[in-house]
Amino acid sequence: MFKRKLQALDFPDPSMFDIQDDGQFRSMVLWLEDQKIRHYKIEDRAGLRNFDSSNQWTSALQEYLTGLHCPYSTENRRSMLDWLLGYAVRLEYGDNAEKYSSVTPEKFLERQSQNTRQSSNPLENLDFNDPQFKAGVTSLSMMLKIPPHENHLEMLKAICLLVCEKFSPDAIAAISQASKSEDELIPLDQTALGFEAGDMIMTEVAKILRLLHIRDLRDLQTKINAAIVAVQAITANPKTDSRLGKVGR
Amino acid sequence: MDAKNPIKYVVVGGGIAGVTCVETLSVFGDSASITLLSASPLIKTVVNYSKLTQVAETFDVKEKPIVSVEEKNSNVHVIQTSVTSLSTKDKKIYTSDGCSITYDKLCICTGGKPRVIAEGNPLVIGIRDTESVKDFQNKVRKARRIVIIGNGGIATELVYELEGCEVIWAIKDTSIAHTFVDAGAGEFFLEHLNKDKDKTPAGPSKRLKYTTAEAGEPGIPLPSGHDGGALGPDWTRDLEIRGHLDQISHRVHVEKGVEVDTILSPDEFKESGMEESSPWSHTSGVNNTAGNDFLLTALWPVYITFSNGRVYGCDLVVSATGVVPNARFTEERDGDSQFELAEDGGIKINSHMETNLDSVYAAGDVCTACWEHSPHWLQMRLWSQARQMGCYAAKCMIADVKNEDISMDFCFELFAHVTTFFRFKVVLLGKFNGQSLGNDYEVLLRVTKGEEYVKVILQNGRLVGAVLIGETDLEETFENLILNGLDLTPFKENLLEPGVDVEDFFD
Amino acid sequence: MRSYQEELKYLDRVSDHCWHIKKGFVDNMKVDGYFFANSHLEKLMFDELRQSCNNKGFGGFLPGMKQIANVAALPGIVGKSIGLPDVHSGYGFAIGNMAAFDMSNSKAVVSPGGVGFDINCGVRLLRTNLHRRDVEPLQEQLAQCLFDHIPVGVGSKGIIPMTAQNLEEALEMGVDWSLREGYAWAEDKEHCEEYGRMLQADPSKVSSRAKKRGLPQLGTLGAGNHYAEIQVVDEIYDQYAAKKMGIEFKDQVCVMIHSGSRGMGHQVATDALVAMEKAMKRDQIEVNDRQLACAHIQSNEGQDYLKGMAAAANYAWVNRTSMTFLSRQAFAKMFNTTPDDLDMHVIYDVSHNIAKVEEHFIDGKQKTLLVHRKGSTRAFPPHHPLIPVDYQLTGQPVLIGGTMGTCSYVLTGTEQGMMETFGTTCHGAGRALSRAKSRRNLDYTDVLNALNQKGISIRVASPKLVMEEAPESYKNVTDVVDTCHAAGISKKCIKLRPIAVIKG
Repeated sequence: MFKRKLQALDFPDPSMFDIQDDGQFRSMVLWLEDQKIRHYKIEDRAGLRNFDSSNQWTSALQEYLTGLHCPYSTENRRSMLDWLLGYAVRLEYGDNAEKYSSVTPEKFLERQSQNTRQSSNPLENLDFNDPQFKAGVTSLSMMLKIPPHENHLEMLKAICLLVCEKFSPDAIAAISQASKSEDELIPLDQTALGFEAGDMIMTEVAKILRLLHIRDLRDLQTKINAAIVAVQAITANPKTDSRLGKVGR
Repeated sequence: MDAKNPIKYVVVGGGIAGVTCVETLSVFGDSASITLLSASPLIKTVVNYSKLTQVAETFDVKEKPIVSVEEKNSNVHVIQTSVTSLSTKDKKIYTSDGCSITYDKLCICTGGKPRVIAEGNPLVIGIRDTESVKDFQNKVRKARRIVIIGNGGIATELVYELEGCEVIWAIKDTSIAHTFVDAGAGEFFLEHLNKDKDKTPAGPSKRLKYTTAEAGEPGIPLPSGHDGGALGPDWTRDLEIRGHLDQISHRVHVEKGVEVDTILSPDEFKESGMEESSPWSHTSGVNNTAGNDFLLTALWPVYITFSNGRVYGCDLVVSATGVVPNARFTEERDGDSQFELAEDGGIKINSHMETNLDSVYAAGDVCTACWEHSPHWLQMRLWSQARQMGCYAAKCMIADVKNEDISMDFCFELFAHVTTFFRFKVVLLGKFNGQSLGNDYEVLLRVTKGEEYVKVILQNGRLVGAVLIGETDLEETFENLILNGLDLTPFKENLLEPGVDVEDFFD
Repeated sequence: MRSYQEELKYLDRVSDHCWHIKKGFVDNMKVDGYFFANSHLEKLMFDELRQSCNNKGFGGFLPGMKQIANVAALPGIVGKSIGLPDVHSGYGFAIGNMAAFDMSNSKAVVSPGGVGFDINCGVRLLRTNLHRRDVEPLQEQLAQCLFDHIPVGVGSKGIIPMTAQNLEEALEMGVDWSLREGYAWAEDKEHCEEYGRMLQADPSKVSSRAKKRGLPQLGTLGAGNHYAEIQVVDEIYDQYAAKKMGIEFKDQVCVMIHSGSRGMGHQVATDALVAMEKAMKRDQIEVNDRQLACAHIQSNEGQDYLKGMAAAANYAWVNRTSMTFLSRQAFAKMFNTTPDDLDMHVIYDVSHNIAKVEEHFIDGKQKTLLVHRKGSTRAFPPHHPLIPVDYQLTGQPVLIGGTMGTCSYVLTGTEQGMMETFGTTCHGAGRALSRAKSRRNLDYTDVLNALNQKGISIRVASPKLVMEEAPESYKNVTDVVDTCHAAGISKKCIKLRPIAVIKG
């Protein structure tokens, strides 16, 4: 939420912002006023700084919004904040109009490539075509038993997927869970394919595709069942009359 | 039907028809007020109801105190009283204790009265309801010989259940159990008459059975002379009826084609100068043992003479010659209406169970179905039909109140009755004895002595009725074939070919 | 009429478990006939043929081989007419006969006799997580409780209330109706053939008499070979497939429900037979046996039947689903827990008497066929798109009910079955009692004397099919299943044995 606007305003760690959290919300409003909007004098901002009293802060905000001619009230927190952020972006742009208007798509791309090189993130400074990097990808793929691919970047993608699926904390937790619940192991050689695929490798591949397809189907069927249950909650009316049968004997 | 002024349903009679009617009203009648009037402190309810086929059903009957109906059905009120008269003008009925009850819809389920010969003679008992069974059970304990008159279901069951005394079974027909089955089936049963009663439980019971538990509970006074509900099916179950002679199980002599002439006291018998007949000289295979000699010498408490001139002495005479519909109110006082009756004495009803009187319905033994019957249905005064009529009458009453259409229940499409004689399951379907078919039908037959008796009635190549005795497993197939109306001409007698699984063939 | 020896010339052994009926065995055969049998079962088939030859035909009842061949003479049949190991005499088609008709051939027919009267008669198996030990002490009460729940109370007086309007909807929607009303679990649907609903169902093609017959029977078991059984796992042949079905250990308790559309199916079938007899004259369709009444698939009669049949099939699913609901209630009550905690899932639900539109390969070409399966079960192989995702690797479960009270089996479909029998296998045992009955001492003298009524013709049944030296001559379920397994048209997975039977 608001990620792009927050980014434009150089808000630290925009993805972490949670509008539902009262504390974060209030800090955000104050940050915008302190850093970007500066509608009040510093000493007049005390009301917005008073986080301890919910009522007083809210009335201070309402007053602040009225002062800014904001069309939204405090009740509509999301729209209000969006408006406030947009207002701040507008001010930011106004302050640096020349700087921003000089940015063309070409320059942006150029700057982006410069940025990556100059980024503090060491990964972004990597040369993906460096033979050493390629060698690293290859050895990683060998360790993870990922079949080779001519484009090492594709291989890197495969490695990422595998790591996310198998070695993320969630995946590791799921595996330890599953090993307890005796997850079934399907012996590939005992699984019938149902048709001739030519050679053994193609057969294995086709079997794997089938198994993946079955897993998808199961997910779909489970969702269908969930939908039926949801509908049943509305329609079901088991009018069984135990009085008539011998149910309540 | 607003809550303040609910529809008032009144049902008269605490037998199967009445109670089923009330229960059905209670379930489907919304917020109606329902009153059941029962002459007896006990009512009959259906338990263990199960469908054998689409229309054939079996159930047991349990006797319960009248309050049980109120407990089970909160909108039902039960009053123990007898109805004396009816006023359709005021929509009121009057009771023996001088009360009057108003109704919107009334259903008469007063059942039938046993036809009893020599009424008033304490040694002649009519068996019809639980009360009379208990009375009988007491009296039979000292009996050495009993004469049973009648050829219906109760007589047939009684002959089998009665142990420890000699039985002379007098029937007006030429074969036993004739009310239900043909002479061939009677013959099939005949050999089981003098066999020892089978004491083993009837195979692995597929369900537990109830007994008439509360009937004799202390604290429930059993008034005499009131018209209680009729016995239920399986009334003899767990009811040991034993006479005085420990050494015999069954010793039955059948006197065929006779009617009762007179019933004589010992003095009258002596004066008449008649000679007592001996049943056993005619029945081969049954010898008088020395210990039974006294049977021949002593004077019997009662003597009975038959139309064929034979005279028997016995301890007790049981009259089980069926019922007559209990269709007349006892008094005309306050009443302004009587029912139009059919030839058999039943209240005439139409296809909606309505009598000739406005808003008055009838169901069960008391009524006579005067609608145009389906080709495979006929009325018999049976437990199963009492239940079906009670249920359908309730639905008709409700439909009338709601101004809805109702089509005749499917159970009136095909006659089906299930009972047990001599421990054989007996299933009767459709025109099982070719009733009302004249001579225009064919019979297919398969009999294995002591095992099964299968009789099928075909008309124009189509199945119209069947008698199935024993574990034939054919009832559903034949019911379906009757209802399907499939042309069976190519099969004919092969239909019962024992090497063919006809029930699978038509699967 | 040919002699038995002459008839034998048209019969060839293909393998230990399969026989070939050559063209010419009956007139007009358009394809060949095949039937599956082991040495014991084939003896019964040949005995039956010999008996029929000796008796110069046998009014209305033809031997199974003749019936298979007569079906092979129907217009539009493709491939072959197939008799499964449990094949036996039935109306029109033998019970245990399957045949496929080419939908693209305008002369191809649909025949009610190829479906049977009890439309979508079938078997459903529920598992539990209970052990025999848990059930044994309560066995009697449990059986009683099931009995109380299942057939008791029907129609508008039943535990599951049904109005005429409900019935219309149930006929159209099948299991979806049960789901909507809350009588079924969402997971039940995925484990039914056709997902428990035939989409071409049209309640308006079901006569009012059929509906009248159907209404009071909903949720009831039926008599004859219909039953509900509490069973325990007796043997597991295929651990992996069993596990996929949730069968984990020996003595695990299951519930098998065997029922169909009952009176409603009978009426739908009868109505169609009557309509088609007329249509056959009009469209000049000739068949070898009057019982094989049929109509062109695309004719009004054909379409009406298929729509009505589908509605009756939906009714049968609602019926089995209602009984599932009641079984779950009964178990939950007896074990004082929820059906969920008892893991009472539907393993599968198969249809025995049904005609379906399916895609098959004939001589390498994909064809759309109308497959009639009467007294036989669909058995699709692994990876077939029409079987539930859970069984994609094992093949479709096939539930084989024994004669009531004997063992039952779960098989799985195979690729070989797909190729050889249009993905079809057996459905159960031939019935047990008949041959025993035929040895009974039939004696009519006394009875006939007593019955001596004037003017009424009385015909008595006398055994014509006296089996020579056939002591155990019914089609035992184990023989039938073993033959299917050995022939490769399905694979044994689980054997179940009953511990309590509930009969309607």
